Amino acid sequence: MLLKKFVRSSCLLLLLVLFALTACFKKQSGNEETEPTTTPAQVEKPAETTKAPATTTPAETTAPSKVNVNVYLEISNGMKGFMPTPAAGKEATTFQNNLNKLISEVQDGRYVANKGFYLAKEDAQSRPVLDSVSYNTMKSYIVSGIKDDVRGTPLPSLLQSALNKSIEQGAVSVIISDFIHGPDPRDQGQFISLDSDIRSSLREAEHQGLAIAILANSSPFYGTYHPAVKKPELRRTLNGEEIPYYIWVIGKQQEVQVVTNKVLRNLPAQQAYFGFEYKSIPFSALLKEKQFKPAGVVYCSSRNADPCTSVNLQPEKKEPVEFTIGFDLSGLPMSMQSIDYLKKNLKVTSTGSRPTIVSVTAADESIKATPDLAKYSHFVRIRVPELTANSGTISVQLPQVTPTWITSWSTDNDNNPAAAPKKTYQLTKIIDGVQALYRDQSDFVFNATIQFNKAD
Amino acid sequence: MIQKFFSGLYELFLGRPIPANFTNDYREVVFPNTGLMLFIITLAIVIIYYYVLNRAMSTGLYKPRHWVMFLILNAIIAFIIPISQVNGNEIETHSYTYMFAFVNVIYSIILFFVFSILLKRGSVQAWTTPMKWPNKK
Repeated sequence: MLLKKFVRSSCLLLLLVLFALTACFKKQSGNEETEPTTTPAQVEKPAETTKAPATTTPAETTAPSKVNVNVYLEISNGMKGFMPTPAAGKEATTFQNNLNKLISEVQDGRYVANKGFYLAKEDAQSRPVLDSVSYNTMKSYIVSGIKDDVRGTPLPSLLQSALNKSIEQGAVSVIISDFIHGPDPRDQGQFISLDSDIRSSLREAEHQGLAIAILANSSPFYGTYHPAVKKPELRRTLNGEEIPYYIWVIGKQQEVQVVTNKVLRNLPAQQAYFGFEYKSIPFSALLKEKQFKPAGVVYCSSRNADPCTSVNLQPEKKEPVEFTIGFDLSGLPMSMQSIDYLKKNLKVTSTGSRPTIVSVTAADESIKATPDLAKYSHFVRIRVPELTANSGTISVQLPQVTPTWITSWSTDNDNNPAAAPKKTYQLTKIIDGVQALYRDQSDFVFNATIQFNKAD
Repeated sequence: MIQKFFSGLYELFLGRPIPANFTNDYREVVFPNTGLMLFIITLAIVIIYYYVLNRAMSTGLYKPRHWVMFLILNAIIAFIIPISQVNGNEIETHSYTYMFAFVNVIYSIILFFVFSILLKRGSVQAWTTPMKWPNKK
């Protein structure tokens, strides 16, 4: 009897001791988290994690909610066909529809602070003139056609004067033109130096650290078309053939993005971005997420680092390491966020290993519903079959590439747009000039580097 | 130090933690916690057996089968702790987890025996449990 009682009470005592101990050790494990372990890479880690949020915040805060916008519409004779005079039963052209939306968004949209509307033309001496007009005047030009008689477009000087005006006023330039270079007929040599002329005209953009987004679209064209190449025809009368026009957005990267994403919105498929660079894309190796189970021996160097930018791994012959990195690319231009674009252009490089990209996926609904993953928009799975050193880095990079549409929209003879629609004379040369501005910039739109150590 | 010691102790028989992505959870939390608890609980049970039950209270639980009972009790605790540790730290359970629990049981038995040998001389009724060696009288 007595014995049983003691056994019971001692069991109770034991249980109590057990509970007390468990409580103690939970707490202790909490303290352990902060203790850095001994390997050098792990010692570096805290410094990096603290740096990462510090660098991301300014980028986020500087994203302005409102921007100043100056719209420059070129009104040479060559543009008239985009804006035919309205008649009953005649549909508006794509150009008219899009431009109308654009300027009304600039005029009334909530993302625009100060706005200016300018008609770009040239005077008798082929010098560019920017006429400041009201919203209504520009609208009437777009919907009811151009009445003025303006001969050519000296492209570089037009760009230069528009850009200088915007820089003066601290505004983003939105330049709308067909970008058919129309130099003074006495000075045809300008065609040869077009790229360097474009470059010099935009040098202020480079000095001020501005970025350029080029959006190309085409619209039915009704009226007299003035090709750059004047042979065999000096001009042609077109009746609805598709002629390209371009919207150039020049300004600070953040502000250009406000304009492209919030003011212009429905962007055409043909987009090109120059001078865009993202120094601190948020990213993390995802090693514990059920949706992205890693394969092989790989774990985050620090137990609860978030984001995890340093991993330990140990690929075996039979079991290569595979893991997923989550990226938040929502700040990038839309065309760069497309999976096809990323699949084609994303690169993985490494010192000390030979990684390859297995897959690139965008966040789906179930991922967006997972709190830990909701902050990432894209997921890149990396395979590391072997290491060539005990430590090193794995970098996922998006190189600056010239979009392929530029070559297919460019031509050396724009005389007959009916036979070769949607082509602009020497567009590649114009773009070369733009690219030359950013030659010294980073080769990558973004570069995400993960440190690795061989697992012990 | 403690982390390294216990990780080494368990990985000696178990090998690298599986699934590998939880390696750090095992090494930094589960192994040291389990190991420390194993030491402390085993020591506590041995002390209770020899000094509380067989000295202060004189309950008459001095026979080897009583000692074995407490050894098994300790082994059961040693089996539960690793599993609860793994679950408590949100680590995926794997057959590795149960191997780990089994290894912990083996360690608990060895440790219980070692502590018994070291401490039994201070007991009044149970100084010869489970056997007389190494005490002489």
